[in-house]
Amino acid sequence: MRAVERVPAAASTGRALPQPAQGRRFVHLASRTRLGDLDPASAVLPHIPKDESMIGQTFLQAPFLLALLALGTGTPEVAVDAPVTPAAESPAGAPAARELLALRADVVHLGDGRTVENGTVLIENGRIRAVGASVDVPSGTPTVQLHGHLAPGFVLPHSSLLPIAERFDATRGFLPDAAIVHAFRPESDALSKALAAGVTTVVLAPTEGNVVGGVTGVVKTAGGRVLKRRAHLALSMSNAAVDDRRFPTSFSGLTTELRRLFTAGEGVYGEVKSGTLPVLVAARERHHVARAVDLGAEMGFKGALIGAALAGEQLDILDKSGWTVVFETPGPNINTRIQEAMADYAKSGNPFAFSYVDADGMRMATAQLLRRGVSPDAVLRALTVTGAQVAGVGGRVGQIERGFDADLVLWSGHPLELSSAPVVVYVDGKAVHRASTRPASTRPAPTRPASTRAKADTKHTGANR
Amino acid sequence: MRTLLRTTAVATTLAIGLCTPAVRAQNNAPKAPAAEKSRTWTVHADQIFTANGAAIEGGFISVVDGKIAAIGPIPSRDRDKEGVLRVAAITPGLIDLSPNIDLSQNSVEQSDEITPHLRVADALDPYSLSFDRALRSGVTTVLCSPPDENVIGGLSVVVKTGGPGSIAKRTVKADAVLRGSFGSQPSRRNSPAFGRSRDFYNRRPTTRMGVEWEWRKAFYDAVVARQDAEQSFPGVEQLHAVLDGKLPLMVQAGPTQDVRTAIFLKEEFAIPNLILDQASEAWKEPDLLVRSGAAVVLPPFTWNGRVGFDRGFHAWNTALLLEESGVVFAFSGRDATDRDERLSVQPGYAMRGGLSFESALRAVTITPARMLGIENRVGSLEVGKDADLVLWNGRPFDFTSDVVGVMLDGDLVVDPRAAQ
Repeated sequence: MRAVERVPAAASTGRALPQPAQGRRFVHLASRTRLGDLDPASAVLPHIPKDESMIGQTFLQAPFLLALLALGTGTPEVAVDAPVTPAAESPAGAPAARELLALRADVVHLGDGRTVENGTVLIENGRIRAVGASVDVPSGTPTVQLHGHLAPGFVLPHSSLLPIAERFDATRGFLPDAAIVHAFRPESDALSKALAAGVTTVVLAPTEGNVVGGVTGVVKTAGGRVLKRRAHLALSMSNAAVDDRRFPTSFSGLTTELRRLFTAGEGVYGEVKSGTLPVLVAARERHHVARAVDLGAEMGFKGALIGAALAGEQLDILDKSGWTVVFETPGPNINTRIQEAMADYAKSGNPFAFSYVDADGMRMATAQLLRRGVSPDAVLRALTVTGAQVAGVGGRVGQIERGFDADLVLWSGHPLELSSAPVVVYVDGKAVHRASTRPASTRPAPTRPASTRAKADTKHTGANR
Repeated sequence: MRTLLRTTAVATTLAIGLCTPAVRAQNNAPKAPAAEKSRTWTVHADQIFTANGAAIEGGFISVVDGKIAAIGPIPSRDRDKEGVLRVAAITPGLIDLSPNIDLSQNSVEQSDEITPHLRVADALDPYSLSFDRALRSGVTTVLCSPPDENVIGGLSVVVKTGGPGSIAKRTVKADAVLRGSFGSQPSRRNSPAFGRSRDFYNRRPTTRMGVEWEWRKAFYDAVVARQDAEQSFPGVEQLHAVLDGKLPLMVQAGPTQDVRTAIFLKEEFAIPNLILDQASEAWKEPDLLVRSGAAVVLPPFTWNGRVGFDRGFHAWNTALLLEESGVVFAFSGRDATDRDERLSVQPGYAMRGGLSFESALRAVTITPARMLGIENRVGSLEVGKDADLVLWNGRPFDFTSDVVGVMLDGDLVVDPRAAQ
């Protein structure tokens, strides 16, 4: 099913609509804002010209054509993106205007496993005010009928979104004072791609190359907002953390030094021990995981294991252990053993989430879990509720629930179907991304010369064998 | 030849369909899956070698919840009892003080040569297949040591070779010994005196003399640090524990020169407990060993007699000679890659060199347990100890006998019924 956004009458908002910015396909919200201090109500909204926003996605769909006929082609397409008066320009002392928006969708996934058919989400000033099948929408509220599945924006509690130079220091093994949020660049291309994939909140994290990589941060992929400047202490107990070029070069040295630091309990290590700062521990292989769990039990911390591809083979130590596994999403070529182990872990009922590398990897990893019999609810929960909990922003994003940020994604079908695509992405109640006519894949289309294509295709399909 | 005849007799018995105890086990064994995971068993054997007294002919062992609950001659009323495992012989689970357990290259801390405070327990991989190989060959308890690439590598750990995927949960004794090495292994691959260094750390000893210097300097520094706390350094506590006799020192010392160097170090610093590992040429200095009171772990036999990193010569009758001199010794399966080099066959080779069966058995069971102070849990078959059993299809250590079953903490890891 393709999604269609039917456009309400422009007059209903009572405001002038912006003129399409001809020649610019997408004006990124974040490029106009400063890091961390952005108020969504005062943000300049991105605008997508009508000729590129929806038509390519939907021109074959009869309902859309009917809608176009009914409304007339001269009607502006996008009413949701009407700019509001910036708060700074409001008359002094006047109460802030309540900005309301109602979204109706065929299916609303609340994130916790529940769904609402023909549900309505009422958004007030960027937050969700109500959700349900029969929501009392105040009269005059702009209402958008969305065709498709509306789900919470995905929350990935670990990511590789920053450039490697910002995530890795080859000279030192321990960087407890590093705060990776300083490397956040809201207008980066990687962030836009994550947004386009339906990911609205990510944890920026260092690589597994440093034993202590620093403190992670939670950011939104649109709007340049930092939700948490100090989200976790990122540790690494994987092979990459033991490096011949600097201390430690061995797992013994690594663990001994961590034990010393946590025992002394100064600075971030004390915060971890007191429970105020969670940990993300990169632990790729089974023995990394076993070592991390043992050290955590000894030093009194638990958190999330990043990687842990074979966690499903380690349920004897991980079942109900209090640790969460954050699976890597390397892409389509996950080997069979890892797929089976991931599915076993997911079916065990223990909490898990996903790390973000790119859209294809995320979609393929989740699809493979479904193919191996993991319930869609469990996987969707991992991408939303559990992801937000691991990220430390569980009460704020990851669910369509009263009081949560209105970070929503309209999917063309079920969010986990490989053939579904995000159509509109809302962050803080604003439509900040609309699918373009290009496919959702982040990979460029093959550009082989036509002369070689036939030959290569024959080989690829195995016709010669 | 006697064994061969016996094997033929068993085969004949099989052929004519008479039930020997070993065969009957196959038919009467409980097949329910629940029973397979049980830690409660009764095992009957023609012979039980407890490693702590005389052998029991026609004996039984009752295992309850992973511990040995009863042991003795089979009561006559139980002889044909159903649901009992029946094998030819039982010995305690074997203990290897110098096992062949994989450590990745990430287990060498190259930032220092003297790292007494590092624990190999932090580097072990509980999922390593080498643990499984050791377990299936009858080795149930191992002393894992840091690799001998450092002069003083750190603290060794005693672990069971099976169990949960957690070294902490498998540990029998943490920080069991302080491990180091003499000889040329710690100086191998270190940077040359001239030319380009090979890695970030210009590692120091490049000679055997340099290795010895590092040893003496470490203990000298430890002695100085006792007087002056400001001279303290990481690992000084462990060195003090060694000097105080609270922590045994285990060193690799193969050739005679390294055996001598290690004993001279022991005497110079009055180190109470010294274990010489891979001491293939210990037979050349029995008097020195007796004088020092050091214990010896022997390397596995090889076909050309040359063993270990420094290719010391290991004679067939080494164990006999040490026994006659009164030196405490154990066997090991270090660096064994071949099936015929496993620990379970080493006593047989030593018996070929003249050692008695009982001494050979002790050298893979109760003696190594006593060397580490873990004899209250493992090393012999006694009531209350861990149910670590090796089940044999013939007389243990005979070249025609094999390990057909292994029980670890009451868990039947290798089922003798499957081997038939």
